Amino acid sequence: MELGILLTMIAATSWGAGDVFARRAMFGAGAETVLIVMITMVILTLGVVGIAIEGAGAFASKDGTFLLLTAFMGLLTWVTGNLLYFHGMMRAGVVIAAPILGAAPLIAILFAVTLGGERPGPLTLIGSFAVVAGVAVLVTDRERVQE
Amino acid sequence: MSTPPRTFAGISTVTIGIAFAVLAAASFAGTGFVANELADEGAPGIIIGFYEALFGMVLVVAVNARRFRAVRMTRPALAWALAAGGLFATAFGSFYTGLSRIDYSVGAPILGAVPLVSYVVLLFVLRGHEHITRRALAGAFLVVAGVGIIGLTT
Repeated sequence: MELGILLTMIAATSWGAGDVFARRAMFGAGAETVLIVMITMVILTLGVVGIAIEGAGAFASKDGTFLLLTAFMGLLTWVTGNLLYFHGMMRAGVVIAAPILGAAPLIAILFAVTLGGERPGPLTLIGSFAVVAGVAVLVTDRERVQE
Repeated sequence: MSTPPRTFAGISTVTIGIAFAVLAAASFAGTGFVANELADEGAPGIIIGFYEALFGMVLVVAVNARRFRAVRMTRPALAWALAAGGLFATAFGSFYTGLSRIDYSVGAPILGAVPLVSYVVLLFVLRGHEHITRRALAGAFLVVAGVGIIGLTT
């Protein structure tokens, strides 16, 4: 198996489990507090592993463009991404919120069509329809009662 | 007798939660593109994730500065949050490293399997707190299948 695909599968497994663990943590703390603890853990873990694998020098000599783009990613991933998602999980639960988040590739296609002028093929349209139908089934679930 | 759903300005909190999840999905779709560009330029995935989290920490603290004056967290919550943080570190490091070897259009659909993993873990970790209805399972299946079909086309 291609290493890149294996790494992405590991990422999918870790995110799927991590989301549920985060939801469990929110039974004893607010979403913001849980998020801060998690980011601290991410920084420490990636910092230590990064030094071990890439060396301390890999963290230095980053140009302005790299720092600007990672700052933008930090905004998207942790503020408008995870922070909103955690609030979404608190209100709608993992059962509803997780599949909606899983529909992110559909949004990527919408970006490509509306901003990039791309034309999706028939299979892409069928897949997109399935995603939209799935989300519609989820959001109209009358049994979606949360504690 | 069931209790009526909580509302905010006439909108169900569950609906607000769904809206938050949609916005989060859009954010993650955007960040994947940027990460892919950086990884293609040769930046190590772990370093990308590190700086992203570092800036994310600054921004999250800045946005929520007032709320952190009275922080409360139980010990079990701390343990779950630390474990979640470890898993997220693994996820970010793995995904961004993977993006240097495969295209984003190949990697992104694989992440469509995240809800299924969540459902399996949920059965053990959130037993008694959340339940998976048949509609939710059908909806999640459609989403994952749809993302899988989109993945086939790319």
